[in-house]
Amino acid sequence: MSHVDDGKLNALLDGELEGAEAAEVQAHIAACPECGKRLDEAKRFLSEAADLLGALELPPAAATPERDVRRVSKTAKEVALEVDDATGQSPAIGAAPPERLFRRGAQVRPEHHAFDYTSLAWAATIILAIGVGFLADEVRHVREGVPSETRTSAQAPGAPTGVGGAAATAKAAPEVAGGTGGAAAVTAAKPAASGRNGPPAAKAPPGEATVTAARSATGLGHKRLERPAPAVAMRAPEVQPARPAGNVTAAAPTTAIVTSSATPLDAASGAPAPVPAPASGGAVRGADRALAQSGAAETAGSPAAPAAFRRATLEEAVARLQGTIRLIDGLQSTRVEIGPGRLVPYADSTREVVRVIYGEPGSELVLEQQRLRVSQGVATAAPREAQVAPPALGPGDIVVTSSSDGLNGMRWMDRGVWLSLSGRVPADSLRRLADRVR
Amino acid sequence: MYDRYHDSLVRLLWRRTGDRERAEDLAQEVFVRALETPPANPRPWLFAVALNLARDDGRRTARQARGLALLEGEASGAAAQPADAALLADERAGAVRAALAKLSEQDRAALLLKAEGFDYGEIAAALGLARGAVGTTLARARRRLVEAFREQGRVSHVAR
Repeated sequence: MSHVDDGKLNALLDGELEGAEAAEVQAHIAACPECGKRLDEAKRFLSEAADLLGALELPPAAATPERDVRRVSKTAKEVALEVDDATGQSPAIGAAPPERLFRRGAQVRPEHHAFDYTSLAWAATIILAIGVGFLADEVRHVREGVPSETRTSAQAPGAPTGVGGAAATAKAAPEVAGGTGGAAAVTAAKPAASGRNGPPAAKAPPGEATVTAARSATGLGHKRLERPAPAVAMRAPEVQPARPAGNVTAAAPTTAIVTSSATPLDAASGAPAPVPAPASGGAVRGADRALAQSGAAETAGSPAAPAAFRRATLEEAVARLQGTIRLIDGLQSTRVEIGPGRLVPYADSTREVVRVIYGEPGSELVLEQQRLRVSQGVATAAPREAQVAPPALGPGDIVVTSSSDGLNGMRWMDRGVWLSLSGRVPADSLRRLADRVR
Repeated sequence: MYDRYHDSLVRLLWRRTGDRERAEDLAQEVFVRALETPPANPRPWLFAVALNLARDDGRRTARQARGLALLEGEASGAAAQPADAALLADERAGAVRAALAKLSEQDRAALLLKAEGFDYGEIAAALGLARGAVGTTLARARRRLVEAFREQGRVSHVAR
């Protein structure tokens, strides 16, 4: 036998040679010092190469340094805005010029390190102080049973007159209008607290403030929905009182007050609401989740309605959508489900939603669709709810949502059908898939 | 399919690109493509697509960042993968990646697949090679990786 080449030696070492061939090669190596030497060399290269690749072990997914810096600076900015009302100062921003905070980790020279850490430490201290104060406040008021948002405005004693005025309106509202007023006041108090346009907001009655908020939410159009929280706060009062279908009586607000004061509380705290997702609404998060929760909460009030999504045949789904169903061209769907619209964020809650699911659990793509109401006058059960889907979405609009855990979503309307596509895929892939929805 | 291959795929892509986030994105893209055209033999298919995506993505990034790399005066080895350099915490890992960047596309792919537990048959299927050529490819890739790594050590030694 001639000498064994490196390929065979590696195959031998990798255990890839058949029995007979392996025996033959080994016999040759035993008799041939040169090949024996090359086998040793191949062994060294193999183990060293494996070692080197072992140095590239996957880091934990959680924290890349850049993101941390960005998160801290954003929080500091938010805090600075809140402090602004009371003191007229922005200590967090003042202490650390934004360009320093936003520097990329790799480019920061050693002398900047000390400075950055100091300013970050300052920002952290301020955040902590305000956080502790807020929590203490929270605890106290929960015990007293005061609705959280009313208190927020009423408790700014040193605030400019404009804010005080808004607070007065906010405080008065619940007494006058009951459950609805309480939630409307939330919307009215919000712009005033941000300190941007105190007097106009103070003059506007709660109802008008709600309308303004709704407009600005609609204006989001093609933009990414970074902070959909105000939309939730705005929506909650409209949705809740009307829901207990059939018995729109004085009894209705009781449930409404509970849910509507709970939902804005989550939204106002600035953090994503730690809310359990509804039973089948896997693709729901952030503000969507808060909204969905209010839907779930209502289920208790109307036990007759179907509570979750159920498997359905394609024919059934087509019938539900009045003759057509949208599918992703070229993909084979895994299953079809039908469920109540109120479990799907931004869908028309009075109608059922058809859900077409692609892929396997963990990498599912979910295409939700709903036939849009043709004439709003016909359905009398909850005329105001018809506004829930359309306001954020006009014909031709595409709303793209994204969450830090990799779940991306898109919503749009197409020829009388409301559509929502979501899944754990990059936004551009999602867009391409959406293009193939026929 | 996702549960079975996701981690391995991300690890391979991370080794290839040096960017965790990009690795995750590319892995998602691979699964989307698998949804579009379900492969008969998923493992080699998924990894072959992943390596192709990483290659295309790397070219694009390299083009975009070439000017930047010159300004930052990176080592020539790292310049082939400029986006990676910024994120390297560990010097050794950086040197390994730079050495890996010096390999041919095929050699690098074969090494990375082997590190994910692929056998010769699967490597051959993923890379479109004859099974008999896999040993030779791996032999060359291992030798080159080790030599490129040692070479770097010498260069940085002299530089100091």
